[in-house]
Amino acid sequence: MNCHEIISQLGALLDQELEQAQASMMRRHLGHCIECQVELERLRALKAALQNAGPPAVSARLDERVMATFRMQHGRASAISKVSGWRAWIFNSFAIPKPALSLIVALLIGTAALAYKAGEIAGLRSQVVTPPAPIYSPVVATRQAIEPAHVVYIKTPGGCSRSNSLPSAMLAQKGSTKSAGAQAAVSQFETQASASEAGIDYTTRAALENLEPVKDASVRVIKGENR
Amino acid sequence: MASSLADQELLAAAARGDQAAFSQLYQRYRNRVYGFAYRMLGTQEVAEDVTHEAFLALIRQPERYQAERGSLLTFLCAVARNHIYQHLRHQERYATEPVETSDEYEEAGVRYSFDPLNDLLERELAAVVEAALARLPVAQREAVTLREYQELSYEEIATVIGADTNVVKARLYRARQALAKRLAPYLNQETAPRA
Repeated sequence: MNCHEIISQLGALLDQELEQAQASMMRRHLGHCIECQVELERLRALKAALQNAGPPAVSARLDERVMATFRMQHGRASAISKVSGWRAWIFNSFAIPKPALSLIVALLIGTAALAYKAGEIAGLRSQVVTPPAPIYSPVVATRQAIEPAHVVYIKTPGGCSRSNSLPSAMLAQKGSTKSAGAQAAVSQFETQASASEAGIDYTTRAALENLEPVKDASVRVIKGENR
Repeated sequence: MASSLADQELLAAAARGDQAAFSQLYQRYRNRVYGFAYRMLGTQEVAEDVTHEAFLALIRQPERYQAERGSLLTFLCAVARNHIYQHLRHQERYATEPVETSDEYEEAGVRYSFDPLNDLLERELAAVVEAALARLPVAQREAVTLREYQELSYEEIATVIGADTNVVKARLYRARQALAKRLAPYLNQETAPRA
């Protein structure tokens, strides 16, 4: 080995990391090589200097922090293992295998969703307002036959009419017979319905077609069955 | 080997919640783990965080330590090393101020000038050594620290850093050459060959 190779291994020699044979060979070289001896002493001084520079002491704060972590970790575990009676039952209840726990959670969520949906439907049903039956009249029957989506509702000064009260009220007001009143109602309803749909009020239409206006009733044509 | 067996026994007892056993383990290795972290990071607070993390791994997952793969100190240093490198990467990414320089360390040495002469010299030398260590590349600083302060064997260092022992030898050689050069003025008086 030449000096360069010896110097490159001096650190390992000081660290006692060399094979016995290699260490012996190096010591023999060092016995007669001043340059390598100087290098060896320089490394020894360096190691001593490094040892002299110790880090600051570990603070008590770190000691307490680590031990508190230990206590917390094992305190929690022992708390679970030491309980008895109903508390043990609760703790053990949570010791369910993960697949089973997942299945239970999924079932609970599904049940809750179904219950919610059922409740929602029941709530909607309770809120449904049965629309008044269409007015029984030939006009309505005719119009429903032609345009089943159109329902005619009639308002009177007393409020919203019922299906079987308005025609008779109107007929009584006009003082006609039932059949004659029905015919008049047909004519008026047709005129009123078509006038409303055309955007022409009944009075104008009546004037144009020489009809007798019905002043105490109004006609509203609503498209669609649901109000 | 006896120490290794004792470590395992203590660790097994600590895993069962024996606080005295864990305390004994902690007292045995805290300075070396903390010293490694401090030398690599240069700040006491972060070094304490890293030390805490290393022992936390031992508390929460003692089964991670496998005696056949190395000593407990090797395991603790390996865990600490992971956190050290996380901090170093974070420092590199978000560093806004330069790392402490040797001048600052030398100034720190001057601040101790009210101490007796020997104390002053020791403190100054310690400050200069710290500065020289801090200026080493991370891999070389790591090798020197694990060897000189944690007193790990080359094989243990290789286990900690995940490299071959030849890599460890090479890093140690380069690190020592650099340190000897930087500390030459402080080492000259002691480098005269023995008669």
